[in-house]
Amino acid sequence: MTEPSRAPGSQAHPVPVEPVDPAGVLAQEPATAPPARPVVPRSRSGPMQTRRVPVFGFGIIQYWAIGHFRREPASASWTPG
Amino acid sequence: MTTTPPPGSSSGIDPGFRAHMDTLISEIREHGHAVTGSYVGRDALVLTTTGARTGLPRTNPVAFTRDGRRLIISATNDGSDNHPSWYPNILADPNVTVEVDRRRFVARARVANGDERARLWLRHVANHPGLAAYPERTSRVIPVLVLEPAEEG
Repeated sequence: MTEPSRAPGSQAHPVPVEPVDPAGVLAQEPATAPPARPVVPRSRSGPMQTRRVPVFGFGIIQYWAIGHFRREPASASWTPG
Repeated sequence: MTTTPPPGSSSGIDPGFRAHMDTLISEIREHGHAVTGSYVGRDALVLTTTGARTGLPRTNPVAFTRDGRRLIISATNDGSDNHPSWYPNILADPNVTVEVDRRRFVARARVANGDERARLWLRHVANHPGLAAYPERTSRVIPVLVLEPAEEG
């Protein structure tokens, strides 16, 4: 019996075939963790950008409230009458 | 430069100062005298007059000095050139209500004149030294009034 002739340079063994994935597990996207937040060093000056608005709002309340809080006369000799 | 309207002036009362006076009124009513602020331990009463224009009750804290059963007060308005709002009310209706020493009674107010005024003013200033500076601040003659109890409450 003679071995069938092969073209020169052809492979002696068949190319491996990827295994079949009947459940389709491999076809799904692999679960990935959410991207980690960039680590921002804590500093006093860092968060100022985000705090600016609340501070400004509080300032308005403060400005309004000062006029309504008890305020004694500037004169130490003030006498009610 | 901003200026605080004098209490009781026709231009209105500064809200902070009004709050201060309201606190003083509350303390006099509850304790018989001031318990906070610069007027702790001083003689101050709550005077209620009837608004000359509105007919509504108007309440103010006023420093006083005892003179027997009578009480001496003065319309200082912190040395302003305007009378305090309660003064024209008294001229229109001298019947007032006084609250002091946890008592409340009706009194009749009258303006002192001449020698009586001079005597009562000196007595009043001796009890409230801060009053001494007021005549220098204003061109008006600061009225001195006598409150005579009409009935005990």
